[in-house]
Amino acid sequence: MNEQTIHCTECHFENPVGGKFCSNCGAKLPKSTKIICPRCQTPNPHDRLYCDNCGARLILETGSIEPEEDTTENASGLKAFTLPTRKPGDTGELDPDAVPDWLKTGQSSTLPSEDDLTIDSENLPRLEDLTPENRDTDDLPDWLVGSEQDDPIIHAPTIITTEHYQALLDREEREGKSPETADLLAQYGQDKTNLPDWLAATTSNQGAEIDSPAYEEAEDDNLDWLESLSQPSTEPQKQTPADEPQNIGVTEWLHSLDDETDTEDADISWLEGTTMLSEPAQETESKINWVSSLASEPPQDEASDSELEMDWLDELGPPQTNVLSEDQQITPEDDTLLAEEQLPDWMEELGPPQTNILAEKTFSEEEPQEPDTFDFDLDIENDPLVVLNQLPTTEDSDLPDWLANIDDAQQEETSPSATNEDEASWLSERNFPAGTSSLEWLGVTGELPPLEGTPKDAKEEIPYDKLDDSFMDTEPPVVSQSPDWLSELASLDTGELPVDFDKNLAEQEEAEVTAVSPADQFTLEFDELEADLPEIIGKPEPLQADDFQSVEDDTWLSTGSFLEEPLNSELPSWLTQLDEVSTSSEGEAEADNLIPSEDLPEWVTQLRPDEHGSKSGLTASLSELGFDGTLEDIPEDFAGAKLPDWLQDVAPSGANIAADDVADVAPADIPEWMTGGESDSDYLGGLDQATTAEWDSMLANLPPDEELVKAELPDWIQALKPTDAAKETTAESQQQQAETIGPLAGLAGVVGIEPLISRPRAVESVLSFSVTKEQQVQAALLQQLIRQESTAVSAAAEPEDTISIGWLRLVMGILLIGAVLVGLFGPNLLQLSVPTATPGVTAVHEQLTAQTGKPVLVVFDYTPAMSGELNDQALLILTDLLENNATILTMSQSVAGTMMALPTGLADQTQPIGFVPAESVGLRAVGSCLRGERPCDTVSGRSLSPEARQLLPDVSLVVVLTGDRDSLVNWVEQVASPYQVPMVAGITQALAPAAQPYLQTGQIDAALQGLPDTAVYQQTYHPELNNNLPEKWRAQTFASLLSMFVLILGAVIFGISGTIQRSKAR
Amino acid sequence: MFIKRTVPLAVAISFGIITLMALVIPIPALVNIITGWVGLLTAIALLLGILNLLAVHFNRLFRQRNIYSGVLVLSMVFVFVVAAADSLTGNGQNTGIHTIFTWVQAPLEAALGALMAVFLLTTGFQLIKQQPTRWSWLFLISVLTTLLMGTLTYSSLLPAGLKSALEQVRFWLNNVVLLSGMRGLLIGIALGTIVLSIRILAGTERPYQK
Repeated sequence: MNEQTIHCTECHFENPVGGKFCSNCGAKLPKSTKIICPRCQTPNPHDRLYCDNCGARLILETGSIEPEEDTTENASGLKAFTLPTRKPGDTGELDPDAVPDWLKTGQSSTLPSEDDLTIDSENLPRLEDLTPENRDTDDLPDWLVGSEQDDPIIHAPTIITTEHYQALLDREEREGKSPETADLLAQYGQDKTNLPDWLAATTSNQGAEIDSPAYEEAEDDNLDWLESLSQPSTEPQKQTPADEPQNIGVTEWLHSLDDETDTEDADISWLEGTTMLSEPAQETESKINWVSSLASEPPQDEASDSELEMDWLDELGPPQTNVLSEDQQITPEDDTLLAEEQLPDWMEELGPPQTNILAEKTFSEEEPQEPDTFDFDLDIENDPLVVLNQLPTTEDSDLPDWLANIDDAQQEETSPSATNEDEASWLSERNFPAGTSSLEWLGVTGELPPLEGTPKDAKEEIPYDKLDDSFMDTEPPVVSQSPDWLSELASLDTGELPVDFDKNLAEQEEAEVTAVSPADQFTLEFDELEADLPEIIGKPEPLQADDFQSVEDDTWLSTGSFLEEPLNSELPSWLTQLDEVSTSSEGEAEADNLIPSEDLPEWVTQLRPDEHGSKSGLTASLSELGFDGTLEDIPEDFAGAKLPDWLQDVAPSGANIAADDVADVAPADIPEWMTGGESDSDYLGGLDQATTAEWDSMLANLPPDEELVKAELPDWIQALKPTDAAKETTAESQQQQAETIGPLAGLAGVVGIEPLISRPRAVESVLSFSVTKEQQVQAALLQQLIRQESTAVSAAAEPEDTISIGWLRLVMGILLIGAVLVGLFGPNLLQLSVPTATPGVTAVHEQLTAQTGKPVLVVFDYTPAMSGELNDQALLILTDLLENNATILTMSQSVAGTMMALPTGLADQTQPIGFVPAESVGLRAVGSCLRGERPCDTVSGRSLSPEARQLLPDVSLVVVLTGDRDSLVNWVEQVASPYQVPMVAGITQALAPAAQPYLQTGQIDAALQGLPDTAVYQQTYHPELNNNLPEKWRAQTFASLLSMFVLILGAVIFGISGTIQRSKAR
Repeated sequence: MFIKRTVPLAVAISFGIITLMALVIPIPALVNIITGWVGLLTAIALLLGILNLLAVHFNRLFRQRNIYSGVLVLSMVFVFVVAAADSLTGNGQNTGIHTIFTWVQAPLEAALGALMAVFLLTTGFQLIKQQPTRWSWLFLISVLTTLLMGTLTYSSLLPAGLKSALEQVRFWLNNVVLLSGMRGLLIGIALGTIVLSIRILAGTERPYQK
């Protein structure tokens, strides 16, 4: 619509603005096509959103509907803002032809394609677009845009790449060191409610005073633990030349197990991503490629930092890692120690299913290690777990008991010394891979993005202290807030965790005496744990010195600050409970110290031997499944029979388990459950043969596949299920016939419709949809209303009507005034004469004159608006009463009521009682007082004068002067009738019909009804009073006649015109 | 909930039942006490209403700068001052309140009544134009008849026979049509009052919580 014209709804002619009627057809044009500005009242064109004058918004945002050209002919002639009306019977049926197909069938013919569902990533906003410089919208809050904060807390990278880090590094070098995360944490950690627990704990640690040397060293860079968490992100690029495919998903490490076991060489490069094997051996060349992935080693001065590395983090990695960190070399001197370090039985039972398999396999591929190469003992001082005692004493309360117990015992041992420095150095190196591996294998889950470059490059280019905090923030939760399934995986490694610290304290002395090198210690630990492995598990490949060389060169391995955290708050319960076992008195864990069964998963509990330690639940379970023989080769076959296909890859091949791998296993380290009740000598004597025979026997006794009960996998395993396996189910479902029609079209496996329901039935009556012309008009009207909903149109009445009504009222007023004036002062044109007294008037006079010497209650219940009609009655009544020496008491239910007696000039001869509130209830009280049912000290809370108290009970007549119906009714019903009080009413002529019933029934003795009766009364009984009542009566009569004439005139004019219009319409 | 609903409900029901029983079983003392309380409470409520009205207009005057509220407040204050002065001087009828009533309130209310007459007449003139229904015609006929009976019967211009006939018609209308109609209205009002009383006694209707 052109904004300069007005569109005619009748002939669609474009009329100039300002016209009221169409220039073409004469039809009435819409009143307004402008949008009135709510602020400046300026009319704006119809299509404006903002006022041209002041810029105010004209249309609400939600209602900004663009007006459309009305092309519907049926819409013509409709008033724009009249609601649609519908006659009774019009139900608004729909035209079947107009109903869309999708509504008829309930199906949507146009399903969204995948392209439609694909998110247009290009249209998504980027983070860099939200910067204050780039943003161009006000929709974003300031805190998100960060316009007021130049230095945000977190520099969130949009793309996490090495280039990003490099850019950050360059920027930091140019701009100086950015605020440390620790500082930020210390700043924002004051309100720990806004920080996650692990972060809040970090901030609390930083503010604590710690005397521990380890902590003092770590204090310089108390976020090294973050460094250790961040470094693994670069690990995949530091892989060995094995060119392992990038691990994808959590189960990749399981695949890597299988892959490695299938290889002939002893390379355990599959563990390159799991750097748990990082035991230091500076002077030893290592054949393990994965160790080379540890690109650098921490400096010696950061050894104590690395001491704070957490072993439990290592256990968050692949379950087998700790096993692999042990050396198969077991010297005779270590036997005793290993015996003391023997895991509890139940822990031994926990170990095999998930860990030791790989370790033993690795051993089988490795060459015998030279004692000097891996001649290491369990270094209590440098053991990460032992270093836990270096935690601040102020946080002992936050530590688990088993950690707190070792604190005091280790204080002395943690004092720096030359020997310990060396030991700490290799330990830091050892701990680094633990920390990194825990993240690295997490990184393969896809949560941590791989980084380009080698570890060396990463170390050089991205020092930890210059890493962006935003990236660092992503790491700790992964470790500290491990999901349940991760904890379960970690719990499977508990076979390596229990370290008897009390025993270690004693052993430390031996370690100091022997002063073994870190490499030796690694060997010892490796041997120790390896000895605990069952024979079905391959021995871990021994580490070479060069494997640790790169590790020791890394300065970013320091993770000391990590251990300074209150670990107890983050330690899983299973780890805390391990302490109960490890702190048992001597050597083996006592049955009393076992983790309560209720705290363990059910399947773990079943693996635990009974109280007598006679038999493991695992063995029993295997027996139930028919595994009566040895366990040889059970992983592969068993997996094939028991586990789903996608888990079969997890099981190591039996071919990879060589007899040599288990030949060196110390018999004392073989758990009882693995020995199957055989003596150690028997086991050692025929270990390989027995194992093979056992596996053969078990496999031979395996029931057919179809008899095997399908395993019920836990949810967390189901979550790890590869998508390929999931597709099988999808393929099965696709085999089912998919629905082709109906709302379930495209879905397979839909339950068929009940035959009875689906049976075709004859339709009794087909719904017929028809649209009448009136409905079309209504629909067009609704559309028009919708389009013009946002249009602000003045709702002012038509000017011509306003003027006509105003003039009409003025004329009427003038006529009325003229009639009254003529009646008052003009000649008696109608020869009106006051009639003679009527029976009603006579009765009033009789009642008033009968109250001679008696108290009479006169009620003035009328307002000044009625005073012109009732004041004369009041004057006549009071005159009659006073002439008969009646005592007059005045009362009113109206606030201004008693004042109405003043114009009579007789108010000073009355006893005013005043205002009586509460209407009917108050009148009820007055009635009871009049009849002496109660003392009349007060009336409705109003204290009465002594004269009034004396007179009220003796009142003989009540005269009610009112023009209000309720007042009359209340006096009649609450006073006159209940208490049989004579009552005379002086009422207006308008109230006469309402008093008529009471007059008929005698509830009102007599009444003066309006000015005519008043005039009659005055002319009959008080002609001496010159109050112009006849003239007033004539004026009223003239006004009535005028009104009658006007009504007749109006009825004739509009009646005739209306009839003519209707006849024309017909 | 207990204070705002249960307690008022219990009070209303208990006092309603007591008052009702007092009507059946004449206990004048009890009825007088209750009615005395009602009058007192009503007077207090009226006083509170006046004070609230004053406060509202004070608020509108000083916060919204409403000049009309200012005039109203000044008028109320002026009347209070005059009434207080009258009570102190005790001049009888020739008081300031009397003067205000005679020369201000009474003319204003009379003028309003006169305006109502003008509006009614104008509306009656356009009645057929606005609602040309049969009921409009019936209303017009009734009004014309009433006016005619009330005026022309007193005129000497009409013949005596016609006047007598009109008197008969007027009497019949007043004593048959009008009286029956009014009785019907009064009976309906009485029934409505009974129903409302029962609802209040049953707690279904709670006008005191509105």
